[in-house]
Amino acid sequence: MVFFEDFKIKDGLNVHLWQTRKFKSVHLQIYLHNQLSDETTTFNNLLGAVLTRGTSEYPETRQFSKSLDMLYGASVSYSVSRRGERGLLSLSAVMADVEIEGLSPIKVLSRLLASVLFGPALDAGGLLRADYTAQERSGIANDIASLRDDKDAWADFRCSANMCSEEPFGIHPLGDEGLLKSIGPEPLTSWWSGVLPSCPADIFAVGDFDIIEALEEIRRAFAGSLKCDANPGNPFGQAIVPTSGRRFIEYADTQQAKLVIGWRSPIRWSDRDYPAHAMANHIFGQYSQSKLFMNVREKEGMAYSVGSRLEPTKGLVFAYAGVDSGNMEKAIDVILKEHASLCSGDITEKELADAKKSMSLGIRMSADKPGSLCGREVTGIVNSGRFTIEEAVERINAVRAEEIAKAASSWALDTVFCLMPETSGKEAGRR
Amino acid sequence: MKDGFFKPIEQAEVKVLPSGLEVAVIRKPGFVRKYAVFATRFGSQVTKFRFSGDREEYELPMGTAHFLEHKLFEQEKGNMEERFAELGATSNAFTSNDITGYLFCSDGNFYECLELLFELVYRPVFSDEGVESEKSIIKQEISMTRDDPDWMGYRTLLTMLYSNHPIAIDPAGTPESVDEISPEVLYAAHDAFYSPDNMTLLVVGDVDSGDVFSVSGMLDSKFGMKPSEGVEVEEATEPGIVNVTERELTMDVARPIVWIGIKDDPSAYTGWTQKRSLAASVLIEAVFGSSSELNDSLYTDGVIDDNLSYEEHYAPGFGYINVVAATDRKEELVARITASLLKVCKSGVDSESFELAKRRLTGALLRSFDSEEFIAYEYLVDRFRGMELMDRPVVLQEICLDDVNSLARSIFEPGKMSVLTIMPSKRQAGK
Repeated sequence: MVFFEDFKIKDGLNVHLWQTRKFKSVHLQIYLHNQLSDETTTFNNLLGAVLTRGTSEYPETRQFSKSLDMLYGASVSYSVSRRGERGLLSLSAVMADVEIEGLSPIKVLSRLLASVLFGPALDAGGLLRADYTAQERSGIANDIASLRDDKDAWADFRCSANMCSEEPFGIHPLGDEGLLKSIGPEPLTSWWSGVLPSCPADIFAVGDFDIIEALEEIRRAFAGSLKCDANPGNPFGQAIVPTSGRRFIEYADTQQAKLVIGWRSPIRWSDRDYPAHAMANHIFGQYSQSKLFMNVREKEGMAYSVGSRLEPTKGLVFAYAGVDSGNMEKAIDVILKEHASLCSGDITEKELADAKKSMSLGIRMSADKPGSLCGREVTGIVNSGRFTIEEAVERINAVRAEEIAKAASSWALDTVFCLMPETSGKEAGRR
Repeated sequence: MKDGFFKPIEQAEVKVLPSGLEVAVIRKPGFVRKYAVFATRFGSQVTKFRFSGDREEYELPMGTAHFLEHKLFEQEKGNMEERFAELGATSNAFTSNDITGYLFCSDGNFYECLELLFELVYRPVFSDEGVESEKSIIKQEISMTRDDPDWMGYRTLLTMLYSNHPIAIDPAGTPESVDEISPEVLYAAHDAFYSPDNMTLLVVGDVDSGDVFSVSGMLDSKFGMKPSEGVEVEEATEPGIVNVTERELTMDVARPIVWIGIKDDPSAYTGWTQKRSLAASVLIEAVFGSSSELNDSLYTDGVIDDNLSYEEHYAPGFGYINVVAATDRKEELVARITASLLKVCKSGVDSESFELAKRRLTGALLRSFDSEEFIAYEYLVDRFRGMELMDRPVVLQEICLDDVNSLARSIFEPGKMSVLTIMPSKRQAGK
């Protein structure tokens, strides 16, 4: 089943519309593409925060919030994310499916999101407001530091940062604190008026709207202000020789130790081998019957949280576990052993069949959540390989055990990262 | 939909089977996932009980309900997660203070999965070995939550608000209480609280309600469960004032995080918890929401750099509000919130803030109905607490300014507030 109908407004600007009666809300989201770097992430993060503070019509944040209340609590939000080395700034507006003063929700949302992007609150000199810039700069600096509060997210970031220290993928997900401090209203306004409109963009809408009206409203609201003529670069990154298991140990004031292991694979989302690669990850650690769950958790009782995940664009695989610090070495050994067993083709018919069912269900269920379906489409767009849900499921079902073993064998161990409790002693966890 | 008219929310169809088991179906046309939750009115807050007419009192170690939730997945014919996976479904479970739920979601083999769910809930098999091996997994889960500032903030605040009410008990228990759990404890708890008349089976998805009722009826007869002989659980007597007014915790966080709890008195809303709960929801939206004067001034003055987070929690036996913010100016934050609450206590919420809050909540509630998880969890929690999720939009519309201001007068008076601060520990830099 094809959910989105695609419309090309111009080179670099595409609209994807899913007309459905399934939901009680209407969802509009724009993704702006750029090359992942400290600069793009930091500027985009600050810009998203400042743009969502107010518009020229409602320049004060409280006024703007009240105007959203009048739209029955419509929400406007932004995020910075990535697919491999493609940076994405996304802004979305969502509201209950209700007319406002005779205007359809898609019209209201198109105007709202366009006013946030192109009609922000400016000072008398035409710059983005200095007070908003300063407040959001301080807020983002705190967000950057507070990533550490969530130890799973922190360990995940520190593994990537160490593993990809020479690549854009290793940067902090929220941007660079030093660069952030230097951004005042002038450079931010230049970024807003110069860089942002040049980013190629994909606009998604999901809801019970008239498709012609939706396309026209979106075109009217966005097409004139977006040039979309910049080159967002190659999202896959340069080929890197893996470092065969460099060990990094850092410390935190915690009870539990966190382990993250990173591998590199040459297989990418659009490759013929990708379904086998994704299946390998699924069997390795992505569902309740996975090798890591069954062995690290159920058999050894070492962890409550354990699993693996795939970065589909750059070809990275990560395994993670929260363990007692005394069990760190054992956890590393068991995880590496389970990877070796996958490579040797130790996959039963039942494992293969159950994993296919689990993975197919996950793909089909993405159609119940507009946000996750849009995210899946964006991954396809960045990787120049879009698959319908049926195609994706078919690709999974065609995978054979030996192809999974071959895909898992392509994972080259790169980095072992341990976040150890300070009380465990500085020598613990060291080989 | 026309101005002010929302898409109607789905209603629940409910049938009680001869065994006393309640079956509820909420249809979600067009949704891929079919979601079934089997839930019992039993959670972490039960620590003592006796069978009706029996003198002997059973004591349950803290964490029993949660432990039972983990162990029901172990059955004679193998691990139940594996059997759900064989059918192409995913399974999971959760435990809160007053509910334990077991669920699966699938898009095929629905009735085969439903039969498995009956077997899981009604046919416990606990072995000494299985119980012992689960202890290390649950201790890792506890250890993980001890490093999570959100969890620790929330759980610690409850111990400050409540002197006697067992809502303050952590659902997972402590490493020591987990060690006290044995198969005998689990069987006693299962006998007492897993009788059909103490449980609800809820199905959410694109299903035929008639089929669900008839298959559930057959399965209920097949498993031959009978209504319970009755169980008595002593109600705790809880004073109106808070247990501890101020406390500090030290954790590995980037900056201080302040948790404020405000305690309501259940005797003030005997008989109609839902109205009180929704009045509290409107009150906190008006006082702490993104368009409130308080949130705006704290943000503008740099006391906070993210909007305040706030929630209300209501049941017939307890009611409280909590507000959370990260700040470097804790004293000022607490002083300004306290002053604001006293002002609202005396003068009430103004009518504009009240109307905007109601409007925002109305839209947000409707949007929530796009999530099957929201519907399933909130429906069960409401029902077990004597409320109806589907009545929320109507009751919300009936809430008037007087309801909100009378609540404010009652809960914003001095003596009902606890303040917890999570302070950053001295730690190694994260590089």
